[in-house]
Amino acid sequence: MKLLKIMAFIFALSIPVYFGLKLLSPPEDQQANWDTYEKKDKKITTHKSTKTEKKKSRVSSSKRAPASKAPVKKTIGPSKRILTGSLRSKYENSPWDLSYVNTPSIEWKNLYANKMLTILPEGTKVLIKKTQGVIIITAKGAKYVEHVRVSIQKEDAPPVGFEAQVDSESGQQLKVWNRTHFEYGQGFSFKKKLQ
Amino acid sequence: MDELKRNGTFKKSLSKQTYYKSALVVMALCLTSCVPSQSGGSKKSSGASGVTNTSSTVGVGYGRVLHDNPIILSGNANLSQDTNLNTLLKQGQDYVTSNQYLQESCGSLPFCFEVKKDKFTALHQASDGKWGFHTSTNEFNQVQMFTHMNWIIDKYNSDLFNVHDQYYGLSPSGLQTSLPSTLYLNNAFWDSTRPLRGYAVCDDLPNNAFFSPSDYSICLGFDSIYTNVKFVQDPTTLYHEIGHAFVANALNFRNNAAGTVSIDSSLGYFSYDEGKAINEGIADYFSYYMTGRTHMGEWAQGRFLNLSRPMSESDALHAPGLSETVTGRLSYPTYLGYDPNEPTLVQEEIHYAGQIMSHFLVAFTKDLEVACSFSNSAARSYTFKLLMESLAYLGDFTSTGIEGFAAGSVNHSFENGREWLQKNKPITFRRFSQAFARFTKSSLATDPALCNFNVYNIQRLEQLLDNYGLLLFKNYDMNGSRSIVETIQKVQDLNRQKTVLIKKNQLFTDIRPSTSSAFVFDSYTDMNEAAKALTGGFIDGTLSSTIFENGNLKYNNGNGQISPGELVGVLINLYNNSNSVMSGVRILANDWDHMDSGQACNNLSDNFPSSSQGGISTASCSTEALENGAGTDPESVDPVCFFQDSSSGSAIWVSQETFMASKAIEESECLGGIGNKKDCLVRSPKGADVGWYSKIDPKKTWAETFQDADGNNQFKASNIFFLEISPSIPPGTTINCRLRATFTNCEDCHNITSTATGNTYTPNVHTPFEQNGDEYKDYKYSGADPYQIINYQFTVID
Repeated sequence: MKLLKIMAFIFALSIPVYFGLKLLSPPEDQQANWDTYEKKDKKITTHKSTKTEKKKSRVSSSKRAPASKAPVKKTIGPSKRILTGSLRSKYENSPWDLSYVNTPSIEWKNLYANKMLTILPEGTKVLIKKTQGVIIITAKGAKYVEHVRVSIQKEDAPPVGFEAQVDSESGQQLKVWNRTHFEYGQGFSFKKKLQ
Repeated sequence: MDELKRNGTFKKSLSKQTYYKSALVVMALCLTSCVPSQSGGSKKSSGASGVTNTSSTVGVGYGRVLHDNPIILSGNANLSQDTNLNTLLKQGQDYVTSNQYLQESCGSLPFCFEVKKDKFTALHQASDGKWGFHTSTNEFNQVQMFTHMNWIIDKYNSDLFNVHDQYYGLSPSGLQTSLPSTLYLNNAFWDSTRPLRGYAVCDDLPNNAFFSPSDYSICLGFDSIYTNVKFVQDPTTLYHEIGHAFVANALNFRNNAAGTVSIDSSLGYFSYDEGKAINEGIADYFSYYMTGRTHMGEWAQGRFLNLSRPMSESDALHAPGLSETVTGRLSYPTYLGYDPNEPTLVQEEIHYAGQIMSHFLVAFTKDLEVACSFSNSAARSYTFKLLMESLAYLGDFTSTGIEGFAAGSVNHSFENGREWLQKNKPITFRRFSQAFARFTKSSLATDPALCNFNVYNIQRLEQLLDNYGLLLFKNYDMNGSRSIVETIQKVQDLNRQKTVLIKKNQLFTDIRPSTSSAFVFDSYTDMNEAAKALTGGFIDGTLSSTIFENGNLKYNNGNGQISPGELVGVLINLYNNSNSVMSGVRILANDWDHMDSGQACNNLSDNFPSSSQGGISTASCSTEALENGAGTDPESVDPVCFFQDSSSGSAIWVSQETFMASKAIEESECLGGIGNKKDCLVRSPKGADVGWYSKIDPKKTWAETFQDADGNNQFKASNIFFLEISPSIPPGTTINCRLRATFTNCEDCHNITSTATGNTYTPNVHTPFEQNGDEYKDYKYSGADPYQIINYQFTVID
């Protein structure tokens, strides 16, 4: 009976601790999952990426986590953002001196996906996963940036992947790189006779 | 090569050399098949059904794989697609792995690479620890891919470790290197965050294969007609794909080791550019690196799709006239666009252009055998070393380039590295050859111990580069863009016999009668398709929402003119006025330093616009932006397009911002929305602001050079740059886009010279050690000196 009381006490104590921790964790961390945005019937819908979608995009995670160590990167804040930029070293030990040009929004991912899907054709799915939060420090100030991996699934083509930097406030794509390198074709082209 | 050219029959002939080698391979296989296996697996049978390759015939951790592609193993260039590939297996077993899955570690990385059938299937588990499967099964395909990945990754790691050890081991050479000292400490030799994933047979990739750097994977496809013919059955195709992964690794050695660079560099950015062509050439070389054979892709690519590629001029597939002689080399730029499978056609395609690099690398390897008394294997490893060093240097976004050097040595700066590598100073045949020669000079030609205690005379390399038309540089650029006192290490001019350099004033827009200076593509269908393609990871930003409605372009009318609200593609009709082939031509529509306080500078070589038309020549116009507008330097860079404004009575040229104010255009109407007034009304999307032309024949335009028999041209996104035109521009407005053009085999685009450039710049006090003959410092590429200015003027018509 005494044991039961202790267990009940621990359980009762753990509930506020659990929810307290959950509330304390920054909302951005919840975006480090694959989310699918789909354009269908001229509407854009979103859901957590399914296993099938991730497999189709070849982004499903491996059974084992890599045990190796990447270079130690100095991070700041609860969301562990990497400091980067030419003036990085100046602020590494005094990040509170930084003046920011933007403010992170929890909507950045939706905004980003919507911007893309507005233009991409009907039936396209865009899978997005945040891989790292970054603060780029330049002479113009510090900017919150999200580093993402993107996979675009069009109905009639193999999926294409790339990486991008996205403004943490506006969802504006800033830079893209590492696009899938197909050996043959897959690019935009047209034939014309010049007059 | 966009449209694959399948031929039902194998019309090509393999070289005699290949046949002899094939015969030797087959003989060797016959001999090795008589040697008892080292570890178990005694049951075997051969004949029509071939070698029995099952778990009962192999030991634990072992299996059997095809050691080369079926054409080479059989010695039959016309091998049937229905051949039982078990007949080409050798009797002896191959070690695969003692792991439960097809996963392997490398060096300090416990999780280095893995293979599975495709994205949908789980990793294959060896229930009995054995890897023997019939060649027609998917299990075999996975083992085949895994084993060859293991072999080449092992060789890559072994060679790379040896190179690193030369610089940082117990007896360091003391020579300069681009390899970072922390290459291994920080696991920068590989993508340490995830394994390289190999997908052996991707069902959504007919007649194709890919390397995807964003998820670090390789996918091999299959023949669309003979579906049992898989790309994975040809190890040389796999070596090519994994070669792209090695190139990506090497380019980012320094970025990964620093741990402060958040984006990766890439060898090539556009559907055609010279970086991508070189990438293909190096990837082909990785097949030679493994096999020592100067032809790749004979099976799935060559036998059925006419896409195999030679790497030596002695290959019988080549057109007559090519040979391993001074005059017979596959030289630049003549053979850009040359398809050995169809030599009469000329096509702008990265694999074809890349052959020049693969042939050069093979020839260099063979020359090393002679110069340094190396075995072929040792020469291949040394060439690999030079490739790794050249790539690590050229891809460095920390901008230090060489270990111990200060920032600002290469790729401008941290902020502008990507802009330089992609647009202003990309990796071209010139830049790559120069970096490769630089590292050869600073190692092999400096320390005889590296050349088996032979003296390696750098003239050998200069002459070989010249044989390939690649002696395109005048000095070795030993110190990159650093501002230091130095003695320029020049190339021997007499060695430039075959390489042709052309003055930049020989490039201008076509002014012949009845020709156009530019062509505008504005059809609704083509541009809609382009917009959707550009949005899929090609452009840095996003296209303006002001020109779209319901996901489609709203204003494009297809009249071949530029109208308000359109997205247009522009082909500047550049004309090569010289008597030689002009190559690697680029036209840039990105921001540069040509304006001051909203007015166009007129102290540049185009002498435009005049003072009465609003041009100025202030002190600010006389120096280029040191930081390309990114740092604390007050000099800014501006969009290429400015506007003619007649509201004050006389027509003057003004910035877009000034024009907005003059026409009461609200900031909210800007293409990029509020806060983007500089390029409010016309802008070239970043990443679609460069046009590439592989070559332009003498006295021709690009379109004339590549016109097919019906007079058509195939346009890729890389041939045109794009402009977004604001719907708010009043019809009748005249716009001038001040573009910059340059080319790879340009005589006066790359070096400081005493000859007047037409641009009246004053020496920059912050870079005091610039001297004639040296390479332009990186900051110069914010200005006009390395370029020919091309003014493209048009009137917006409704």
